[in-house]
Amino acid sequence: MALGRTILEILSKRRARKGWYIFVVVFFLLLILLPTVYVLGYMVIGWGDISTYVLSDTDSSTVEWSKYEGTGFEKYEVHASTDSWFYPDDSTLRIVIDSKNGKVNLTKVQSTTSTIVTGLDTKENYFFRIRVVDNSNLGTISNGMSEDNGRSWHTPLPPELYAPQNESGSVNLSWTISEDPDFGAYEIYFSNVTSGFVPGPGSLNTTVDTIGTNWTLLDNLSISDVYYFRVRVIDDQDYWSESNQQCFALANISLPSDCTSPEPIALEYVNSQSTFSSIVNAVVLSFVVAAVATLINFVVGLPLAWYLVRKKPKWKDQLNTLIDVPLAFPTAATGFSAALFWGITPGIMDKPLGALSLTSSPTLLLILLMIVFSFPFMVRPLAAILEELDVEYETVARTCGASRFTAVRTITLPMFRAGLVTAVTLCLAKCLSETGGVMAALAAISSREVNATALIGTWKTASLYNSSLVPALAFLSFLLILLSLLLIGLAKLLIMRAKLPIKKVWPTFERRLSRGWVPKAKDVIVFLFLILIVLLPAFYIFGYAAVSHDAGPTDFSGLWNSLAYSFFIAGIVTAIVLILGIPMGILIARSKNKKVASVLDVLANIPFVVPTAALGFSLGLFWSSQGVIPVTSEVAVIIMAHIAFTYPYVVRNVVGALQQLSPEYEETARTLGAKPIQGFRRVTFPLIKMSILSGAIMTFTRSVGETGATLAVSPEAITAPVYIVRLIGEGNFHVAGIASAILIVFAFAAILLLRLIMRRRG
Amino acid sequence: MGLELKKVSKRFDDIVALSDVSITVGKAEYVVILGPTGAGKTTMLRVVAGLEELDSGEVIIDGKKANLLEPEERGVVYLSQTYSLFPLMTVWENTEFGPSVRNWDPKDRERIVTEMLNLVRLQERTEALPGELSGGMMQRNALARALSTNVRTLLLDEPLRALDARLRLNLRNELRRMSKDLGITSLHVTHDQEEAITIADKIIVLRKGRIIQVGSPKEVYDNPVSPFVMHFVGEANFFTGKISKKEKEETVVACDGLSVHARPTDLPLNSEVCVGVKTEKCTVRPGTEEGENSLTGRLERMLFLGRLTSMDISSQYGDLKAKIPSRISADFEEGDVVTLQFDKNQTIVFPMPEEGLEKELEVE
Repeated sequence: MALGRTILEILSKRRARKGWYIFVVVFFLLLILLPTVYVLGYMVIGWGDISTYVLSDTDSSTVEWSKYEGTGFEKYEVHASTDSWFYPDDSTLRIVIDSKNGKVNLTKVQSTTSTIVTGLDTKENYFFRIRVVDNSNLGTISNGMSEDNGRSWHTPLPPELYAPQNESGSVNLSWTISEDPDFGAYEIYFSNVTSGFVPGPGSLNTTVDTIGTNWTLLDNLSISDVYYFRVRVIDDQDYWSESNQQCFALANISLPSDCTSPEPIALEYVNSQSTFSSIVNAVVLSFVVAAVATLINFVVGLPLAWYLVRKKPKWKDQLNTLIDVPLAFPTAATGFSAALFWGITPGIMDKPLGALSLTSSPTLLLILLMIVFSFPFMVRPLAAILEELDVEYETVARTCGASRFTAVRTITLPMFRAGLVTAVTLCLAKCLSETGGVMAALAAISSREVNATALIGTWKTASLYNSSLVPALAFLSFLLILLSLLLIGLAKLLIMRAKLPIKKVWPTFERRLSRGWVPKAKDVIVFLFLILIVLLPAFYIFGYAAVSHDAGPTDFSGLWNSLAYSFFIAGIVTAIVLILGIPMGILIARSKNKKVASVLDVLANIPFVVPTAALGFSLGLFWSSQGVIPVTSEVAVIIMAHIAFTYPYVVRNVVGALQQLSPEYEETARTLGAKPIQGFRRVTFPLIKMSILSGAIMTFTRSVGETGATLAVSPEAITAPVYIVRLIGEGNFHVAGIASAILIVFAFAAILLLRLIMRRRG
Repeated sequence: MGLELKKVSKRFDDIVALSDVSITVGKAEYVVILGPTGAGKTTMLRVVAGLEELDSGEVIIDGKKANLLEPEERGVVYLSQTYSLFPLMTVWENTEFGPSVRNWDPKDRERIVTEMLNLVRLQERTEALPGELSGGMMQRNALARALSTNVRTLLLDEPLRALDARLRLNLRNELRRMSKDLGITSLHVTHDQEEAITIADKIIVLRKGRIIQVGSPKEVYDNPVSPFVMHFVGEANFFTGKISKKEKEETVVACDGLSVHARPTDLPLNSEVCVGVKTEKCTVRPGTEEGENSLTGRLERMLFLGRLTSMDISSQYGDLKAKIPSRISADFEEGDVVTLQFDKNQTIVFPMPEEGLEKELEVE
């Protein structure tokens, strides 16, 4: 209390107040806005890298392998060469996935099973192998594949060599049977000289050419030596894969520590695409999805907004709450839910009743998903502007003889362009920005096609081990930000300039549209859409969580940790955004200098239209490349990123509420003797409290639900939605389903709590 | 003591709101600022209250320079047109606002608030919210709220505007009586000349950010300093011409074939002037009559205003207006030939305004 009073005292001084406002503005400009668009500047600084890694003829290759499940793990190595006979060595090494000298937890490194290789020449055909290495620096090589996922060249899968047995003076070697259709032979190699030998003609011992034979006896081995063994499977074209190394000594001597290499892993997927065209494809997918979803939402959202405002149904409040559901649901959870509902989900064990399993097309699924996410962003502004428009115009038009449809089309619709601009802007921005839901849904249908934000998430994760992805990420973020701004600007221009409505009227036709079954059918269709397309897919997760059975590990400790982490971040973010956003809102709404105010207003809204994944990447780049403020903690950068994209929610709400409120209240309070802070606390705040509350709730839920910005700052930060996305990626649908349901429940509970606290305070 | 503005100027972008304005308001004086919309009246109040920063000049409150004081430090209360009663507070809470932000002793607060609410006769409605009050009650609540701060100076911005006619008359007397009883200095803004004349000790006529005239209501009414003031404070008829004769008792102005006799003036012979006479000072007789300041014309329209009747007369010297007592209006009918007459002592000669008479009389 005493501290609060001191702060009040200090802030009543004119100079202190000015200082505080200046701090708020400077903080916003330097630490929110600048980092948000920093990537634009990086385009200049990093142009050399971008032209080398992105614009020239280089590929980025996605490589995926099976996880090494054994012990003693040290690192994975990704090798690539244009020579299909290559044996992995330093010259073919492209990427090392290791603990980076202890910076990354080794268990995490071991569960990494994919990466992106960059910088390969587009015109050449590359061949890939993965090598898994253990802590005695002994490696095992995977099968090999050409960059077109093995279509033009692939080897058999590597066999696993079991520990050799002493069979009365001979060595019994056994391995797993090959299932390769083009099987050629098993080749047994050994060395008594060195561990980690490279199998070659000199070390070839025996050849076994029947596929079903999975053991052999080796005689004539010296009794005092330690022998090292490997087995190769070759196919009918002599393409080989080799097993892990085992060692053996006939005498009862202790074996050296570096004698068994890791069990073999399988290279599962390789796909090369020109880096530039990966970026273009992803961006195109994002924009197509955003445009189609926005259009559909407009067609359905308008009649729904109309119904809400003009028909004033008794259950308007309940309907509003239902429309807001996608806002409160963390998107990763909703995305998973909708993908289970619509998509053909290969990884799923127990499909609950009602899953439609209609599509495996990522484009279609993403459109369906975006319709859900952006639906409230379309309906809300349209309803708000309809609320403001006077019904009298329509009434007058109708008394002049226009049918209802004609009156609406020619009189009312042209008047709410401003609302439509807001709705379309928010809707497009939401669609272009969404990451968590997209990644969850794409993982659920095992799609390899990605949109721009998911590509940022994937590449950022891979960039931990491949720093040459940074220029590609920068270019992608830049493109996404630039095109988002352009598209939204274009949409605005089109809506404001378009020659709507068509002046011509077709009285009979339009009258028919206004009466009888047409309007009723319209209402029915709109409600069916709301229920079937928006709500059912969102709520579907609860059904799934209820029926799904254990399949895979059911360890929930990760969930609780990630939930705690998410709520911790969201709590801090909400507090800071309130502290910084309210003064900014006051400044914009009440500043005597209208020019400065309108410039700040525009600037404060920029983070709204910057896709959060691009924003997060830009922010991460900014913090890592500036040397002024030492930031070592990733949590701090994640919090800054969340502040950046939630900042406009509070500022907008405060500005909106204050603009509707006459400044005379505050002025009167001051002439009555209230200090500015007293005036705000006693008079203004109670009047704009609800707006601030809704801004705070938006901030909190957006922060809890955010995936893109978090991933783009640090792939290592496991917030709840990132955790869910990861579980789905690992195929652990059961835990993912339950985690999604729990996350939704917790998000709702937090909103209720926040509401309660604010009400108490009031 | 009281309140003083010295050479105060204030611009908003390219609009001049106040230009070189100096005024003095004595302690417990009731001063009305009268002027058309956009004259800078509200700005003047806001400058005094500290709600607008000055471009130049000084504000002196109770003998101390107040330019740099925050609004809450000035001891003046601003009452806006809409009263700005805090919507979520009850009548009691609104009235207690000033004492509570000053952290006065709760006992004192209760005493003061009770006293003030009794004074404005709202003791029955202490728990009502502003939305539940009538216009007059809101006015009185706002007044009680202002008075409960021990205020020395009240700034009233069109305080009676939102009230209906009858209530306005009652309240304006009450306002004056209350501020006189409590010894409060009042600065009251209005565009209603009747309100200004009946309530003020002193009227300041403001136009386009400049002070045109300062004086008692009688002075402003009887001896306007410009055609604008004459026309704004009660309507007037004007003629333009040249001074053709100057004498000790009167001035004669030749106006396009008509000789108008007016009060004496210092203006030189032959100078371009305009001559005005208030419509209320004109008399109208039926038929044609010759004589000093007599004009014959046709009665075009009669408009019954209650006690007075307004007459539009077209003559060869232009369209004229007269307000005559309604009791004699029965003698006239629209279309009659009538004679309009006025006394030379009520007729005032002004130098020709630089921008022409029409511009001078414009209200906006």
